[in-house]
Amino acid sequence: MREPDVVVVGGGPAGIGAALAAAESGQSVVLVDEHERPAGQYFKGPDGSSKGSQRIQHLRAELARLGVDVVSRGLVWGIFEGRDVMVVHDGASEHLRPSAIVLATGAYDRPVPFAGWTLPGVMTAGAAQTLVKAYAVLPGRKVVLAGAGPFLLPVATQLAEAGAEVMLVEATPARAWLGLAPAAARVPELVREGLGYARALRRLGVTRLSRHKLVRAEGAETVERAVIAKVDGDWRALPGSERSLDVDAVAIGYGFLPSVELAESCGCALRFDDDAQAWFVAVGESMETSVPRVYAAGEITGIAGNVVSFWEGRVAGASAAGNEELATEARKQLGPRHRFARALGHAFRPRPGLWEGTADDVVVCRCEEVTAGEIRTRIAGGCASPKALKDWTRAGMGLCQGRMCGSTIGRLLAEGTEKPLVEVPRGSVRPPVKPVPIHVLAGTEVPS
Amino acid sequence: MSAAAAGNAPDVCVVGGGLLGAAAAYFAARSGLRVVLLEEQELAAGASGAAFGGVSSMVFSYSETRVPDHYVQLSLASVRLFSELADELGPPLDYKVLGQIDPFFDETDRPFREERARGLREAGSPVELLSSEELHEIEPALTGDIAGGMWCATDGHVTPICAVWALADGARRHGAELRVGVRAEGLVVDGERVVGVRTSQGVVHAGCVIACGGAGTAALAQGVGLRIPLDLSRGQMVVTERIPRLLRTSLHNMQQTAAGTVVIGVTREPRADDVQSTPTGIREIVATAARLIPALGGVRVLRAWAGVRIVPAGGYPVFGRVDGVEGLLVCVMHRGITLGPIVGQILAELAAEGRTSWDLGPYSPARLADLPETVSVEESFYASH
Amino acid sequence: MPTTSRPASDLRLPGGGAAVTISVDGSPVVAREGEPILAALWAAGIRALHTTAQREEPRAFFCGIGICFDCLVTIDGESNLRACMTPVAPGMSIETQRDPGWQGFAHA
Repeated sequence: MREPDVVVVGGGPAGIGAALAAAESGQSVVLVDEHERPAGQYFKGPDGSSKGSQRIQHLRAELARLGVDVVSRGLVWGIFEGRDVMVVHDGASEHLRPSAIVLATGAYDRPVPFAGWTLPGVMTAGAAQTLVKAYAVLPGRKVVLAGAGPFLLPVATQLAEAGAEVMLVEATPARAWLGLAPAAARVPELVREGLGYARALRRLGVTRLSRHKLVRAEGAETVERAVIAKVDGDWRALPGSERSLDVDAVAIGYGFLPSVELAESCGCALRFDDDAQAWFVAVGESMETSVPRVYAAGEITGIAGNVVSFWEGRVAGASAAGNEELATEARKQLGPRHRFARALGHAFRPRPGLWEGTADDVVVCRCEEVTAGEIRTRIAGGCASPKALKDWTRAGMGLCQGRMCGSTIGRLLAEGTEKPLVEVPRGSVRPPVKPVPIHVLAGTEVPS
Repeated sequence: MSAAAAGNAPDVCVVGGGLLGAAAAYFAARSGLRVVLLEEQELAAGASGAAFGGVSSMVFSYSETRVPDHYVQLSLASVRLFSELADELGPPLDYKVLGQIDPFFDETDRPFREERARGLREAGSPVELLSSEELHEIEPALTGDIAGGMWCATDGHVTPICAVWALADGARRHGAELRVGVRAEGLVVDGERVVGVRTSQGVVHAGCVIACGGAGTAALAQGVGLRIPLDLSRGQMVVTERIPRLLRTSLHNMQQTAAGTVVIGVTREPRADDVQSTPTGIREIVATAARLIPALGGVRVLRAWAGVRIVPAGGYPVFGRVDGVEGLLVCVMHRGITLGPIVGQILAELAAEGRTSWDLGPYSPARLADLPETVSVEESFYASH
Repeated sequence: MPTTSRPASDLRLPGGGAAVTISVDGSPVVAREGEPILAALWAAGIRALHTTAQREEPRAFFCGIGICFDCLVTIDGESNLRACMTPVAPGMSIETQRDPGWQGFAHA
């Protein structure tokens, strides 16, 4: 067992911010990250000369300079009693008992089932970006990128710059962007970034359709066609407006869901966000959670982008270290950016039509191949919780541990039991939060 | 049952939607009684839903070499009843006869195991003591590094939640009404007779109340002055990813589901009344699993969970009539999956006819009066499993 | 057998590590050292990384960041591994897989 002052889980902007602030405050810090090296989704990719790449290289150098113990390719599989952090690394399990924990586990693209969404070549916007930006591989030559929200802009730009023929299909009307003006006034750097993407898309000849969505993907062994349609203000497809496009990849991005599994299994209280239609970790102004000495930062507390994540991380790390001065300084960076993030979240909030593609024959649980129809039948028969549905249908039992289907199952329960989503029971989150081999668990060092 | 006959009240009100409650409701409804089942959360929300699902007459005791014959016979009767239920309820019951292996590593354990096996056989359970080689024939994935093991070919497994739902659906087909989301708050007593249940949604009058609500039953029983001391004992389990068929049997609380996942149980933690998983508990069960089935070493665990066993003082089931009180049947036990069908059937019999051919003396709530005020729950728990 | 739908170079962009050869379902595939197996397979035109256990549907990847567990392949004999989270190393042997489970489980 090791007893560092602070353990940070997640090596994205929030986790790096937390680790740096805690280390600057004189604390011993262990940063555990699942990937090859700290970056997170925003900064992923090979070293280069871009501004983003320069930034992450600098941050990594800072982590090294301050002596942060970075555990890459490490997985925190559980946190017990709010203090015992179980890590798998290099095929072995280690027990850490820090004085404070900062959770910065990030977010992933909101999965939304529709006909054909399991076909090879249909992917999230984040996946398309990862391929092209981090791995220098195009997801396809002809790509339909569909969804809503600001994240689509950099993805479309990066795909088009890499040579793909991109059609950007947005469910929101063009004026959704204009409504952001008041909140945008105090975040000029974000406005510049957004306008830069818009210009690039025009320059690159990207076709941009507002008030449209992807209704289904078609193909035999891989996606061959994307069928799009016009939508109304609730994002419901307008009858007779469908058209089919030949593609070799489809990417969808309807915002993000926070990876709250670890926080939830550790007992942290969550809050429901109406705009995002999702549960986030509830935090106070020091980024403290409801569990003593456990902090949370970044996208798991609210979707707000890499800059907010970084500063939230610094608040959390400084607070975990008891460095009020540093926390206060970091907090100053947040106000206007938080307001802008909330405005974005509201402008691009999912509308009810987003889920109309979940027809009875559509697979909801990708791992266990459970359809919406099977789940609806069980709900009609009296299953009223994700647990009961899981035991009955196996939905949520698979390797992804319900991350791909959990939000849809919540929605189907809300629909079937005529309750608002916020009142639908959540599935319990159990360790390990990602699969861990038996020989590792069998040899694990356990808390005494 | 005159009170019920007088009005619209059901003959039976079952409190608790676990396996015991669902089985009692099923058998009562099947025998023609009008049944209402009350469940506070949802079906199989408590101990049943978290249980391993073993259906076994290879009854184990930590403290006694020989388990009382009547208890083995009760288990055997329930195992047989599961087969009948499988015919009646079909695939939804999800009952599989796999046979069960209980291996031991050390030769010094042999005399004890032999004696146990003999006792079980004499009581009617078809338990055999087999060599390592014989067990390997039955279960090729089993390590050769064991001294031997007990084998009971008639033991089986249910997915508990499926069994609960199958029984509840069966009860519904026989006219029972399932009221989920209704909390039983107390008994309605008229003189020496229980005439109904006070609930979060008003009073439910019934000719007979069958209390099968786990720890809640003990609370209800206090309403008629009956004390049921309980130990709440945690059992932790894990389930793995799907793998190609590896296990054929139920083996030391391990079994492979039809989907291909392996369910691995189970810890025995007296005086633990929460459903938290712990690193120690997880390590304990997976280490044993990997020792017994070496091929499991590289298989990934997807999820750990835990349930709480409701163990009545003395360790053995407590069920049946309460002396001096009419219209009430109580039921508390920790082997409710195996025993659910037979106990449900007996309770339904008692509700319908007021008597049963079973000698319920050993399980009578009255015997609780003979126990000291403070029972060592640990001793109780280890008395039987 | 891998489904090859286009020349291997078609989706490749400049950059990345040194070229190495790995084996995919017994055939040589050129990859870049250090890139995730997913990138190598996708660039090589391999689409059905695995076939599901029940519906026998082809699957590739959905999230690309280790969340969805839908880029499952068998790597050096170990099944159900995420192609997106495992870096390419020279000499690696990858097999596209038929997912385990649901087969051969008829109980008495």
